[in-house]
Amino acid sequence: MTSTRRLSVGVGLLSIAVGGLLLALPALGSGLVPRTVATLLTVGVGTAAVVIAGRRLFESDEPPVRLPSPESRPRYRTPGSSFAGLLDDVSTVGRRAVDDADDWDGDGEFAPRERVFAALHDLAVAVLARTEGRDAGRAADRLADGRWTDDEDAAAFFAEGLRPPLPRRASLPWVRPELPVARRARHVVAELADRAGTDAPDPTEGGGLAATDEAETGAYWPTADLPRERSTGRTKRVTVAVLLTSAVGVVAGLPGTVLTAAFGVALAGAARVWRPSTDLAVSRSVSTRTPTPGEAVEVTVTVRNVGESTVPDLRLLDGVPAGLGVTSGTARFATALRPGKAASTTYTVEAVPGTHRFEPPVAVVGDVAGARETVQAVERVDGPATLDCGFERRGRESEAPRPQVTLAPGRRTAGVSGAGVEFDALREYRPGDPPGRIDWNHRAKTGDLATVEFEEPRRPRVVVVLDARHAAYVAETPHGVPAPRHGAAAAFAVADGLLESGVPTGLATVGATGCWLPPKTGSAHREAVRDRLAGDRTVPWTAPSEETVVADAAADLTARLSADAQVVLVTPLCDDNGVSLARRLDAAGHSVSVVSPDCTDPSTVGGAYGHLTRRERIAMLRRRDVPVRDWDPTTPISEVSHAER
Amino acid sequence: MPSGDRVPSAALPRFSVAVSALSVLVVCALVAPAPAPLALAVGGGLALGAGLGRDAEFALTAGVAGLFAAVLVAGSEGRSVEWALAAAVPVVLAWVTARHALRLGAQVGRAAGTLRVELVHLVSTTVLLAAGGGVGYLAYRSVAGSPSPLALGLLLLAVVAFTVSLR
Repeated sequence: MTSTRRLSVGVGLLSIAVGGLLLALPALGSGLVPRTVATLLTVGVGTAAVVIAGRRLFESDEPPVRLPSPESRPRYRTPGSSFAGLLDDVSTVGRRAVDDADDWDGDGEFAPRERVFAALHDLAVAVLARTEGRDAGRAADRLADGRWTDDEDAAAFFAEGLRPPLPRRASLPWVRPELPVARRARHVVAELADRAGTDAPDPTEGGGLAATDEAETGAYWPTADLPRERSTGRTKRVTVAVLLTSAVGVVAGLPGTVLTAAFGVALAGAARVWRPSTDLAVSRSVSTRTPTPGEAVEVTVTVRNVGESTVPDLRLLDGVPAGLGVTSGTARFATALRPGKAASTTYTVEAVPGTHRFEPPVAVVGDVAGARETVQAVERVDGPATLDCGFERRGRESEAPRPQVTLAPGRRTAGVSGAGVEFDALREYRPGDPPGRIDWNHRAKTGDLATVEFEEPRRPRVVVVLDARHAAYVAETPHGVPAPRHGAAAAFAVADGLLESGVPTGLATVGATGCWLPPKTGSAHREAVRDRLAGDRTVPWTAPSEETVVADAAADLTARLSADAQVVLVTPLCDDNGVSLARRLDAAGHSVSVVSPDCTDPSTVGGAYGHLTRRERIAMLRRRDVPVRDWDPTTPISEVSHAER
Repeated sequence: MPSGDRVPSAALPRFSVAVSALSVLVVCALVAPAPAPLALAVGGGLALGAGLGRDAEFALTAGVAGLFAAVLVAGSEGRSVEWALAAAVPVVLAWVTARHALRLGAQVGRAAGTLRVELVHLVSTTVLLAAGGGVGYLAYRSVAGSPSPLALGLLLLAVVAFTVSLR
């Protein structure tokens, strides 16, 4: 006990003793001195009680413990959500300052409508140039004329400038109607989607995507500051109530009021006396440990009280893996357990490809009086720790990345010259060259010594590079599977197929967890590749918090890749840096081919914008002779044929 | 209510909410004949309901303070000590079950069956209140005649000291 506590208990006991004595012998209590002391005591202690109560009332509660939540799976950005956010930002603020003749390269802040215009202008020029076969200049002219479409709103967006007349309702205070600029922009996106041959969204649908443009980057299951014991705040309020009512009761002479203090003391005291036991044994069972993708898996969690006293108030949150969503049932339950008793709950999750680890369940144990709680993470759980889904090894050969590379192991000109059999080039003799390689014909003709360089036979080496940057964590729906996880499945299909046919294949990731497996063959290497791609350490389910600089990442990769390595880049192409990465690797001399999972949803305006910009990026890469395989994640990757040039 | 505990679809357990509402009604019925305490009790009950509906701890505390004030005011208008003690019990019960309901709803939600936990909580709180109230009442009854002011002052000091030590 601390010294204040000892002091208070001592004072309390002493005054009870003296008070009891006075009650038993009331004659001692009369007379002048006892009366003044009594008044002093009453007033003084009463004031002290009120002051203490006031201070405690304004003390803040203990800082909250952030409990992990099985329902707060990581949320991802959807492609085009930032454009949807821009459309929502278009307002009457700054409208007058918008000048149609602005120089886009100048400084200064651009209003949202100007940014929308810039983005849509670029996209429209690219789409028109590609679909109608005109060059960019003529496409821009057609846009400015307004003759490129029959839709009035879409034509007016580019033809009539950025300050269309406002409707009357826009000047009313609390009404926020959709401004003509935003409406026209929606029509432009719908027309362009139609032109490009995809399903056009409905331009009259207002709102559309909720602009969640930040993917959640906090830890999904934070158990770092557990176990914690915390107060529920009830004792504080009870003590405040007791102090105030007893002061009021004694001053006003109401014995009944003072007696209610007995309730408060009982409630507060019980919390100190009874501590619940926190010995729990948790076990988990699943209906199948290796489900197929899309299968519903039933998980049953059982908790047993292995301590010696009752657990009156137990709340358990099971650690559902980050990649799996609970489709029915709940992963939380509350129960009270006598020693030796058990309780259980069942919930269902839908399986997605990957190796999913269960997180440690969190148990909140409350005491009998409800005044204090203990929050702890249960580390040891009996039962399976992971669910394995998908990522099966393939037995057949898959197609190689570039058309020039042969499928079967065999010969290919690696572009590296040295010792070999086939003639490649002639170079000047250097001291130390093997004499068998000197070209004596050349010496006979010119009198100089020259060494022959042959083509070195080399097997093709392939490195699969997976894009796991912050910007690549997009998904079709905010709670769907993110692109890097689809990419991991695609990368595994490609890498396993190549390893199956004996091509040395390596693995690299661009993002927070830089993984690097140099190209090798062998079953141990195959297992290592599978482990990295299926698990969630290398390609996590939560986006990294910092953005990766593409130039640095490309430089790192180039330093590690040998000169003859080919690169298969798996990236969603939903931002320009993915394109930049591909082009840098191509410029460094490696032949690059791209596999891109399609995570766009063109049914809303923002999603259609994301879809169209992605198609333009794919087209740009193909124009630069980088083959791109556009893959829809709902189809198995082995069935996708080569991209068309 | 710690904001970190939230369940996205928070729903309050029905049993505790029902017990809380019933206790509020009992308090209103007990203080009924006099207008001022009845007004305080009804106001407190409404604030408690608002606190439950909007998950606001402060409204809950304010509501219970109103109910308690109603009991005190009614008690000072010539009711017996036994009545004051008996009327304070549903006030405390209403508060305790409402707080428990808020925490359970935030941490567990309604989908899981929480009836067992709520029953255990209710029973244990009732037992505690009965024990505490009984002891206090016995002490009160064993006092012969009306106690001197000094004794009362000393008892007040004892209560404050014990409360401070129990923090």
